[in-house]
Amino acid sequence: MTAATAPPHFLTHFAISWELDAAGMTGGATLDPQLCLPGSSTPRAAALAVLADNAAGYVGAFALDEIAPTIDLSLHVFRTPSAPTVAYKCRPLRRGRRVAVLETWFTTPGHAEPWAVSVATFLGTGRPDPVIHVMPTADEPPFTPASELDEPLDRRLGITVLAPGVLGLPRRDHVSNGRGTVQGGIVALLIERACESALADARDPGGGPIGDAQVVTGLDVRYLGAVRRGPARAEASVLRDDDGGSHLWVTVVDAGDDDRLVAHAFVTTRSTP
Amino acid sequence: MTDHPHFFSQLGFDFEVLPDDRFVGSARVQPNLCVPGTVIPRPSMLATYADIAIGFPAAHRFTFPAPTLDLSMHVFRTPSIADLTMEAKLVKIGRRVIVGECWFTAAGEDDPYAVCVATFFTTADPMPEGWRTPTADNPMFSPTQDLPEPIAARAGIVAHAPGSVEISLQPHISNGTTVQGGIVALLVERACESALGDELAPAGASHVVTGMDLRYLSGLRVGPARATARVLRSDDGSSHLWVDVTDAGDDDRMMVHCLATARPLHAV
Repeated sequence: MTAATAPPHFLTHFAISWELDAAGMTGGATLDPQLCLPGSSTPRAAALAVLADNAAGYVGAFALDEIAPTIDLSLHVFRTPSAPTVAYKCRPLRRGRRVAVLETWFTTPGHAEPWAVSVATFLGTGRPDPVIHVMPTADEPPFTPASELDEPLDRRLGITVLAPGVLGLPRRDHVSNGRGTVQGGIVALLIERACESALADARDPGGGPIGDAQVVTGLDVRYLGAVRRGPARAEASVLRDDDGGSHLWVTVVDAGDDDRLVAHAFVTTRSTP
Repeated sequence: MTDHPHFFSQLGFDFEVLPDDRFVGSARVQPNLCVPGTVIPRPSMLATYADIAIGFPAAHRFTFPAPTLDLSMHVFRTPSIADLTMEAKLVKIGRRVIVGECWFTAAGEDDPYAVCVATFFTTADPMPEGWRTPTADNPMFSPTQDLPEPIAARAGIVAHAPGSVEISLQPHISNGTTVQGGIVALLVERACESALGDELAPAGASHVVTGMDLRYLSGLRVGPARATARVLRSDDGSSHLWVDVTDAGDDDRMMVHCLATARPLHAV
């Protein structure tokens, strides 16, 4: 693929801005409708995971002063936001020699009450970071130039349904975290879409639109390895499904590397009104 | 200070650490380890079993102490009986970090009703010479001792304010240096019950904690440990709570954070 035809990095669709302060990071984003649930202005859980992974990853890497991959990320959306414009604050809960734990609270600008929170853990590898020597700004790649989405992000990234509850994601540069693997929030998107597919099939086998009855509100993702070859393949199993919501278990493997396990997740959904 | 037996000896635990980084076990769960009036083992007690079921193989692998970094407990169905079987395995074995999962099934059933995922990391200090992974017949676990009162009372958890509970370090709830992680989870669970009871059902408990996402940040040094729960959202279907655990005697130094979910008892 040539540079002229390469899709823009997915972060160019997020219109992120942030500032560092003594406590951590304050950020914001206006999420494109294609980053929201279909037909709504409610941000996808995975879009929030992208923002949280980005914010906590930078604050965590600087706290540890070395390469520090995400080892887990949990996200809990406990109220429906009123707009796709989000504000967030990220601060460290723990700064050890090797481990940093960070929380990110999401609010709507102008409103004090949070509606979602993410907690993520980063593990220092003991190796100096060749990418981050100074804190990146939103005015440089991969965040700019901003680009609009004319289709849902999952479609843009090439996420495809392989079977009910089983989805694939090609490993390409525009989903990279800058260190040769897929950004954690995009792994979360693959997981979210796998859950929507599994639930749609469980409720209406072989038919029905995907994702119109259930909303992912909880993600507990463990990143166990890097997607080195790809494609990544997520497989969701429904553990419980009732009128109020459901719980699912999702495994993600590197299908091009002998189905090596790269992530797993416990996912919670709620029924939409 | 009390002379109670260590609470591990009341878990009714039988288990085996297998050579392939797996752990299989079962437990005869006493009523006082369950949510009062139900056969649902308290999620914090499931977290205790899981902490051992993943932590022992992790320590065996590291040959170094392996403190718990975080632990997520999810109860997604109501068991028909308190007694249970469990199966744990390590899913990531790194140089510094081990991640494991533990699935719980009600005795006699086939499908699991709860899962725990936990991360352990290695310290720089090797195990004492001659250390071996404990077995089920270790005096720590066997013979099983009766638990004649609710585990929260036996652990010494006391109310501090609505939504806030405290505990002091005592030998029967210690892991050797600080309050055992499962008892910290119990403290969190009780804080949630108190917060929800105060807000929703002053006349009595009506909610069961079904999910806990615990981050262990530091140990208890002075005490007491104080858990304070804040209700983020609560409706007919479920509740979300944020819980801070601090060392109240050490300038409220942060020990643990937890995002917890709860359901009405009838909807678990």
